[in-house]
Amino acid sequence: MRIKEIVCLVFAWLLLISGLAYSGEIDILVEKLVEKGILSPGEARAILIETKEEVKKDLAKGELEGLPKWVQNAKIKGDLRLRYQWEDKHDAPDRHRGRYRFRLGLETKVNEAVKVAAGLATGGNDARSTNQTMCDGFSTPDIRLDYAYVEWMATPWLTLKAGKIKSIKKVIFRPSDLLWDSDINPEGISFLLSKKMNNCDLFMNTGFWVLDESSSDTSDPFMWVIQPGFKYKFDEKTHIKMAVAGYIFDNVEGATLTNGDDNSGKYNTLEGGALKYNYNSIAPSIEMGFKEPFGGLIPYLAVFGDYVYNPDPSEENNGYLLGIKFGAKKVKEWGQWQAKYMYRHLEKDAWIDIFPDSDAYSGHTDVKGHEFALTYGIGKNVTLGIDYYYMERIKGTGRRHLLQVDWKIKF
Amino acid sequence: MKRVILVGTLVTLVLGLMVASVYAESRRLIIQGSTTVLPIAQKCAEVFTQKHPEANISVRGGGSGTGIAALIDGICDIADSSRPIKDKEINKAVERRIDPVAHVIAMDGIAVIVHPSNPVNELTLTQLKDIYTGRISNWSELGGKNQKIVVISRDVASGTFECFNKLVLKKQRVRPDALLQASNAAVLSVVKRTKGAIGYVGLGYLSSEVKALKIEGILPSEDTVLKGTYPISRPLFMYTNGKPKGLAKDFIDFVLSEEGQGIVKEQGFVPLK
Repeated sequence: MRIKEIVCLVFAWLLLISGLAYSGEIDILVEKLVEKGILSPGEARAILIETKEEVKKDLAKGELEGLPKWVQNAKIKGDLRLRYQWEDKHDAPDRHRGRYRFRLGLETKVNEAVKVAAGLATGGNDARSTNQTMCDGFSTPDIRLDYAYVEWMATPWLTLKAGKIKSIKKVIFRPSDLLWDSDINPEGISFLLSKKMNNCDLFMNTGFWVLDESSSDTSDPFMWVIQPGFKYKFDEKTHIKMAVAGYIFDNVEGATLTNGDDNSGKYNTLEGGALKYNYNSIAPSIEMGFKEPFGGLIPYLAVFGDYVYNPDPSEENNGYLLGIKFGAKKVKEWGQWQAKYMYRHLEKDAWIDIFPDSDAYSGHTDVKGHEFALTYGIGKNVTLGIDYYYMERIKGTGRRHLLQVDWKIKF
Repeated sequence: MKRVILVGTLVTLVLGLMVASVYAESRRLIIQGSTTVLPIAQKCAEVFTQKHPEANISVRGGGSGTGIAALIDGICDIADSSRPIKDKEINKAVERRIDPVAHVIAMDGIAVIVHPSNPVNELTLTQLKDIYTGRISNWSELGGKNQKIVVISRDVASGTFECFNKLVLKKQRVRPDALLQASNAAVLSVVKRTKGAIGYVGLGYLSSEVKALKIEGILPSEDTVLKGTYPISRPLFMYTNGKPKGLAKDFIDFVLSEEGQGIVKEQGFVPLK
């Protein structure tokens, strides 16, 4: 074992300093050692394989000479989505729009524990949308900072994220967008704790997120979240994931909030132009997933749900969503598909109205309705999708149809 | 005074329990992963435990991917694998500060098997790929009887399939009418009972009840696998987090010892020595 280890280390070092150019010569050296009876043919083969594995690992870790490590460790990701959108509002003429979204992100490891990421995206200052509508005679649209954050894996079970954090779904378990539009990138700090055991993964997501800042006084609105949960695998094919989030809002009652979109911040109950209630709430979430159910007829099926309860108002303070999706777990390749259906019911003061899915009645509260979505893979990382919403007011007569046809390319 | 004795006794007991639990933990070893490596790990654990009764070794299967994931998650001490670790697994390991170190413990050849009555004796890699992807469906196209080829494959989660997929199929899809089996033993069982069948198993599962085919003119054997001339061969690994220490080191040293390599041979795989 000791001789083998030494030979292995020497060869790994040789490969590294030579930039892999002399791997053929190392084969010859090993053959010579076999000829001289120092190594058996099997040991020689093992040494060569283990050396290659060691080099492969160093390559993956970016430990070779040459470019700075942060460059070797950098990953560029992005996507382009082209969309046709039709809207039918009960009180306005039909609207047809061509829209696009482009996002580009860079992520790099500063060291083995710290990662920095930043991304740019089209769209205005609306926190819930990075869409750009085709308009204004080919004018050139804005590109804005979508996210910029640091991620520090303090221990294998504790990760900290701070800054404008990429994607709400990376810091909160949310099987649907009842409460959180998937484009929201919260600002503040999150601590994510996780503990993996045999069949059960425990986790606790926490966050302190800033909602606004006022230069004239110190009563800045912000929010806290704590979400303990677990994922339990019954076997290789079945899992359940559950969590309960507690949200605490500070300085929100009596404040006016906006997410940058003019269409938000006015559908909760207002008093004197400001929010009448607080939105400290409790929100359980659940998802059950089944691989190859019905004798393998489909590759994956999941049922999921979200619920929210805000105890401050005495009425119109509940919300829920029930959903099912089936087909591929994620559509990444040609021929893969996924179908999804969701029913949502979000009362006026169940949740603060600047965060829910902006496509469901423009992200208002006091809405209920259906969403159907179908995604089909037309190539590796290229999908076609159709998303249809029929939403209506819980109280009142408003109703809206929304149809989106998306061609999405990821890279 | 009595209180001092009582507190002293309690402290001693607690410290004793802590030391005992640390010692017990240090003599506990969890091995998880490839179903191909499983018989080697199980037999080695059995013999090793006879020699070191204080060692508590738990050996589980689940597949190579499961084993490597368990090592990355810190759930097992040794991950058995019938394939090298993938780049994305290395990246995940690095992110979690795990340093997967490979130990080749044996070699395996994937033998392509048919029913003993089948007159076909050899195939090229291209012919084999064509059979499994559906371009060839009758043995008469390969100089055999006019008989439909019954294709037996492994489920996609198995390390044996991953190796076959990489070395033979070149990641093309297996024909949809292939019968998928969950283990080497199941493949062997179906092939020996079905005249037109073709399947593939680890070299250790070959038996006289089936016929192994030459691939590119080479029969699967210890010699051809060790020299690397047999085209469908692979190393078998045990991965540890960093250089093995304590019980993990003792166990891997045992697997690589003459006695351990004897067990490798007993189980039908190719020893390194």
